[in-house]
Amino acid sequence: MNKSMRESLSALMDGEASEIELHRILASTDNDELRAAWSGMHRNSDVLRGNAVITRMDISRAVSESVAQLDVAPVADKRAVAGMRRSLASFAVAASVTAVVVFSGQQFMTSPESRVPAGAGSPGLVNSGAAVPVRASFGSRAEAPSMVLQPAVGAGYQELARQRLRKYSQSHAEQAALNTPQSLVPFARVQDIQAQ
Amino acid sequence: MPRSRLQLIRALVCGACLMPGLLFAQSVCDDSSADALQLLERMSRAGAMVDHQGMATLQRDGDMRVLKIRRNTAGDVTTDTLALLTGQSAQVVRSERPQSCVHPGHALLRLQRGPGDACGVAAHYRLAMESGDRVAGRMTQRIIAQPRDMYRYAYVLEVDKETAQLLKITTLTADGRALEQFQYASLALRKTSSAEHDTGAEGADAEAMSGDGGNHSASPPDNHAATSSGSVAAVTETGSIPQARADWKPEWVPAGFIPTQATGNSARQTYTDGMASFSVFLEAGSVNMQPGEGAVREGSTLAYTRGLRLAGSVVLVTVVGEVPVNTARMVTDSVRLR
Repeated sequence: MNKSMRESLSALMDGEASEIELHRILASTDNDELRAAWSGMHRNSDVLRGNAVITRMDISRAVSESVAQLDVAPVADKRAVAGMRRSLASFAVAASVTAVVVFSGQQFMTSPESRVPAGAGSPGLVNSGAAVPVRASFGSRAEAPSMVLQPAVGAGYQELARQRLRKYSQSHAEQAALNTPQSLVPFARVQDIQAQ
Repeated sequence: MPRSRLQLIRALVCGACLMPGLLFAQSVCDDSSADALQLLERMSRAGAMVDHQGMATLQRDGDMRVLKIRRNTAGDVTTDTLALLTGQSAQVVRSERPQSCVHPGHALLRLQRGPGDACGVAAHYRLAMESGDRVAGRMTQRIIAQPRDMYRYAYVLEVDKETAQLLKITTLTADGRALEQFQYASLALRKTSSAEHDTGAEGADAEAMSGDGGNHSASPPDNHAATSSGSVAAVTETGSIPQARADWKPEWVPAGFIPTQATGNSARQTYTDGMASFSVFLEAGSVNMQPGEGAVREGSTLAYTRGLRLAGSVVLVTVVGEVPVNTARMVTDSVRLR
């Protein structure tokens, strides 16, 4: 899979893909590498959302194969057949993605034993004892810290990201202050400036 | 239609299709304002020449920090001071010789380096210039920098008409949502440098800073923390990272981003495109760590963390910087151990 396709896939994952990118991805749904990358991204997101069970089901291939075996009534215009197949394939991908998400969600919701107890399933680097989960905000305004309980693994990585922001922001600000137009202002972004 | 005429029409259509590509190849930044590019260069240089002192605010996510900023020049040494007046009581001091050392980010703004073209930051931002608002009582020129790709944010800069000092900068998402805004509320400029810079009020700061030639430590009574870096070489790291791998790098960063240091802390690598920067950190993960990712954002600063397995090792890669999450994710994707 080339870099351009990977960028498009990542943009689609973020909900920022253009219509052209979307069409390009849908046109490449037979590409095994693309499907693997897409599954991988969803596995990461599943973990992020707190689904401790990492599903490896690739429903999209099964759906696509089923679509390919559909008996399509003879149509005089071959282009119409091709167009219908493309539409069905697009629908199949959308349906399979939805199915994976719904399946994963249901699996999580209906299998309490699959949930990892708080602390036990965290990545091992999270001090989750008194941690307050912070909701992620991909490209949107950050939400205020809340006491909403989140699944252990997802909350673990959120908390890990929050801790790393505290830990590394000053080190980053040192370089940002030297290499961006705002002089020392990057230090004002640091939550807790440490003496050196 | 005669065959020869058909071929001629085909040739014209083909030529018309290729023309935009050829023009684009000639100069990728023709659509940017040359005046804006020049003003950015002046701004980068002016920052090193104009002594000033002022009050400023940094607004992000509904939070506002009030800052006191000062720049003094004595001889060829410039000293910047940033004091936080709200929230944590902290002061940051940095001294350097700007005439002898141009950092990579400013070199990009000054068209002194780049991927072999004369566009500088205009290769990655579409620049426009217009008359700006009054900021801190001074007239400004506004530069609008729109990203040419999805890997960086947009910026609106208000630059002092007279001195090219940056007075206000707003960071926005590609769809125009403001993430962060810094601006001066008051500013006193001083173009000359002399030994008698400090007023009485500044003397109080000088007292707090005295004693170690620029390196400071926390003062317990008022929880006053300060930090400084004398030069690139003197930059010190916080959060030392045990078990960091020495040989690693992201195989991909967005076009136009260059490393800020040829050699640096092996646990951190920072990249800049002149307007924005991000740092990549690598640390060893625990053996039983599950793969996953998490992200938090404060203002324009993102922290994206992912646990993954590289060459048989479990590692934690974190990107901290002023870039969209998609950029951080793709940079993390490309991290390889060597």
